[in-house]
Amino acid sequence: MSLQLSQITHHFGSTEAVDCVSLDVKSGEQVALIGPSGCGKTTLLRIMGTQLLPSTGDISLIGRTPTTLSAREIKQLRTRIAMIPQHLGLVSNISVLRNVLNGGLGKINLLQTARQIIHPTRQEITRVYELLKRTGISEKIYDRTDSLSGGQQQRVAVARALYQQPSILLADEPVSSIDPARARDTIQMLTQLSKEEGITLVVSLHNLELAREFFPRLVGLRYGSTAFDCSPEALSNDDCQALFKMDSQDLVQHD
Amino acid sequence: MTKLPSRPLIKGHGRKWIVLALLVLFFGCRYILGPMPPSPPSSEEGFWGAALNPTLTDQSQSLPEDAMPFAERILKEMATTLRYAFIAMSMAVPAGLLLGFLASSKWWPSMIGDVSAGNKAARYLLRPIQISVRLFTTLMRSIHELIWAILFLAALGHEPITACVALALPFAGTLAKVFSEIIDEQSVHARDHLITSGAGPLQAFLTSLIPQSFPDIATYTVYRFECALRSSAVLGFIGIETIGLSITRSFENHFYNELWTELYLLLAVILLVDALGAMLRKRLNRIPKRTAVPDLSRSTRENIKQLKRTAPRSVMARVLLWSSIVLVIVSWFPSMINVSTQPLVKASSSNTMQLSKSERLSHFLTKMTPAPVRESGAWNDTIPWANELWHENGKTAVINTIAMATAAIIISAFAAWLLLPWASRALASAKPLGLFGGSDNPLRNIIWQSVGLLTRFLFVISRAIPEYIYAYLLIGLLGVSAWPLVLALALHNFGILGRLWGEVIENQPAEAPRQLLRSGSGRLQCYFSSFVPASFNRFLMYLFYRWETCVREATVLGMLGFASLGLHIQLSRNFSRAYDEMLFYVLLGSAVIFIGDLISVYLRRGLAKA
Amino acid sequence: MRHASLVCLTACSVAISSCGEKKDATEATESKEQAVLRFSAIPDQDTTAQAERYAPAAKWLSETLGIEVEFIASSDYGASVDKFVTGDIQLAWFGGVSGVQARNEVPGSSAIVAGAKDLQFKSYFIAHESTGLSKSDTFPATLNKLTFTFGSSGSTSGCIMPSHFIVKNTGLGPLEYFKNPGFSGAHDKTAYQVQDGTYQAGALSFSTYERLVKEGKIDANKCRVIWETPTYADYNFTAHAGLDKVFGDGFTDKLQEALLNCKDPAVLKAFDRNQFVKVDNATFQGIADVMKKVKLK
Repeated sequence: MSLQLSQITHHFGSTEAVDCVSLDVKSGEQVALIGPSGCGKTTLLRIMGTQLLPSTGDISLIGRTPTTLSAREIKQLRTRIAMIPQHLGLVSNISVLRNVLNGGLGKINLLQTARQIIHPTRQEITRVYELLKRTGISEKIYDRTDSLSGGQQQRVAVARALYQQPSILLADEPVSSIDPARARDTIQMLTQLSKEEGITLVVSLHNLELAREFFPRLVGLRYGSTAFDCSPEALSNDDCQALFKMDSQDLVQHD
Repeated sequence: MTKLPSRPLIKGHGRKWIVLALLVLFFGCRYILGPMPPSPPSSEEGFWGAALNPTLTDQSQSLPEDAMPFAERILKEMATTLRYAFIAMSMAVPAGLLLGFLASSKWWPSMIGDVSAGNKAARYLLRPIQISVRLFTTLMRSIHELIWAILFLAALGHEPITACVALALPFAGTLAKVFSEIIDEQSVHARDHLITSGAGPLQAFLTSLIPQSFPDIATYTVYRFECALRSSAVLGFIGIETIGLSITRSFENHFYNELWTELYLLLAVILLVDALGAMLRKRLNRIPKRTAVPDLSRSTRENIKQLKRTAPRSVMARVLLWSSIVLVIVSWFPSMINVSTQPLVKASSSNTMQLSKSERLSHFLTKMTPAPVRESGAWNDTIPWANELWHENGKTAVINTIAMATAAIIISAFAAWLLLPWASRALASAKPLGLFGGSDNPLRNIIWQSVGLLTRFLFVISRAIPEYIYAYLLIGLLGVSAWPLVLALALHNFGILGRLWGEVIENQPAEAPRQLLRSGSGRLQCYFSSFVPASFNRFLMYLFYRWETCVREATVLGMLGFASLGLHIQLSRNFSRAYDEMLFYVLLGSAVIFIGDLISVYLRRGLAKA
Repeated sequence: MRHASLVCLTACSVAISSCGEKKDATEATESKEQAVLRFSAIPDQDTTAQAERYAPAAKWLSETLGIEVEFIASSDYGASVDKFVTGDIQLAWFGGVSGVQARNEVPGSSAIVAGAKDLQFKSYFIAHESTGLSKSDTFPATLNKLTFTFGSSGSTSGCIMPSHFIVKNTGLGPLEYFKNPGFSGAHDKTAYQVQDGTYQAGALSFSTYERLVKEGKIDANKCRVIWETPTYADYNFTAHAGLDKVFGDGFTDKLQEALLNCKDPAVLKAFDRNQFVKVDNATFQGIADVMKKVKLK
């Protein structure tokens, strides 16, 4: 079992972001989290990525419980979980090569990091090049990251995540600001990589069609709790509509 | 630059009250400092006329045959000025980076989803280190480089390296403060992400925050170098062989043509560095584009090599970086290019009368101990002694110093505020804010462009000359009183406020003022009704920032004769040779600057939040 | 990148090696330099041409004493005393106050010669003709209504003794007595500033005033003497306590003899004196007493 969430609840002050969610994800599975904005997808992903500790509930990642781990063990656990946040978290004024190399920092120590900053080895550069080839932007390896388009920067973030050689790959709204054609390419690339490398993939989307097309398992979230958890075939239209229905409650901004 | 809201942040009447308060404050200072005495009659003879007649030969009739010709002498002194500035900065920048790093909290173990007690403990230990580093750098900054130089020269003897260290100390403090602010202002998205992918806090800091801060750190370092040039020139006024020394000599002997040549030379060099800094800033903000896409059909290794060769790079930044490194090395070791100058550290001769460095230092420290303590040995005696000095001279000196700085900044604020629209690229053009301004008349275009250029040039020149030189010349022309010093401070800061405020205006979103222009208002109306209210907060922030610097400069300007802290420092050094009293006034000045710094930070933080 | 770091390393190693070379060079000259006598003077006039002014004196001393003699310029009064205290100079032409300060801080130093007129030195208070004042025997009572300048704040005849007499005659220190007194920095500057009208009145050394009038640089009517101070001892040559140790026993006496017998016109002109006379530290006790009492406020 790669990911196990049991009765997770999380509060931000008085706002409840996640309400009693339980989720079991097998190793190598592809799961899409869908729901309207503010339904708790990002919070849930952050909990899965050890960025947050849930207010209540148990969580087990790759067989380990974060709350019982020491600082060093948490660090090791984190190297095996790769996250692609919504804002990408790239350093804009350095080259693509360096951004991707940053993904592997968890596995090297400070001295090696310094050496890598001054002079990356040919091995490392080749490895980055191959990864960028897979995501389709290998010729940009030495270009400055902010000279790339939004979609290309996304691919850099994906390459950085892959550089980690993770067991779990989490992506938060990876296609919300890209045009439909490229969005489709990106999702296809992610799911294909997951299948080829056996990486557990959890992606949050609000585009239902895309989720239905590529993901074998869909988990719907509404107001922080699970609305449904099934395959695309088993999903009824009523469920979909109910998920995205605008309530008077929706007029209050959740964040 | 952060995007500013288009709503005014200090509402309506608040702004009017603040402007009124500034005017009232100005008149208060005028009362404290007294009126300006009539200027003595014949002192201005020939001074202004010589501005158009700078000479390249000596004016003195009494020089011996083998004396160095004038042009050669001032070029040599200018080179020395540059040399000392390079050496001082080469010491200040590494120190500033280290101290700035320690003063920032962005590399501490983070609290992202971490329960380990180790991290929390680490943060508790690091906080006092951060606070003490901040205090230490503020202390370094609070003593003016001229005073450091006087102290060091008296303590350790007259050597070039002591002058450079005296420059480096306050500069390292300022660099540390600004670097830590730059680092703390950066977005932490990348750093946080790296930590959640398993990196340690220092690794994440090195690979994300440092590259992110680099452009701002680089541009600020170049600006600081320009300041170092100015301070290096001013060191000449206490006897060090930089261009300031020639300026004093020429002025004292009434060789005004020589004087203007020296001023033009200094101005030219500083303007050059200023232009380089502006170019660097533009280039660093621009994203370099790839020049050629290589053929990528070969082997991986070949491809990578080709890509690296054609990688986009900022040529100018690299040229600047490498030439700076070369210049720094040459400044430390001028023998490398066969230039023989004064060695930085005088070789200690076998002359047994000369005290060793440690002896000099201990002798100096003894002299700096307050006299009553030297006699009785009890430190409690310092209090009545300090009390007496405070009531005798200290109180009025402090009040005068602060009054000078305040009056000066208010004058420059009003002057800059009025001239700003003529310097603004947005407003001072035939097509203000890009709007059609009437039929295309080339003459109008030229006139508007000249107006803009001239005003900007005025700002640039006024900030290029150091305050001390302005003060020295103005006192020579107008006699000794507070107002030449106030004017000197005002002149210099006029240019700086013009530039800082100009940047605020340029970065304003243009829609609101453009609306005003479209509905028929004139440029000035647009400036006063739209640009100024929206930028008011940031204007005030920069005002307080420069006020703090004015206080710092005002503490030494008094050395030119007006009864403020600077004068008493000079008098206790020369008249009574009481270094302990001099130390008292120095520390008093330092305390004033310290408090000014705190007030300024508090006010600016309040404005940033408003 | 690799090439660049290599270049940098080479540059640094060259630099460090050249540093070593310089040390050897200075060590070679050190052994030659072993007996260099350095002297300085307070910058009381002609501040921008000190090296030229005292060059003849350095040359003459060098020839007479048979050792290398060098003149080092000082940027102000305090700097010259500092140099003496740290041993950077071993002999100095001091004023009264600066000499006492130096001898106090380096015990064993002695004043060896002074100019003949230095034993009866005085300050002149001068004023511009527009003030309507003329020479009087009593202290000018309306002095505080005028703009006033001293010489350097460390000068005996230009500031300290005039201040002493101001306190004696008015009970107030100059910073209280005058509104905003100036400090011109040198005697000749004081004279020029009063002549120009930059200041209405000033105090300076009588010797400099008389020399400037003689050379025609100052018009004695435009810039007139309004009061003479009582006399006191002023300028002198002070020898460092360690002279004999470095240059051999009896060197200080030898130096004193040489100066007493000096008739070289260039040297005497440099110091603006006709001849030197013998003095010792006791000659300046009066100055030392005044220094304890005088205050600026």
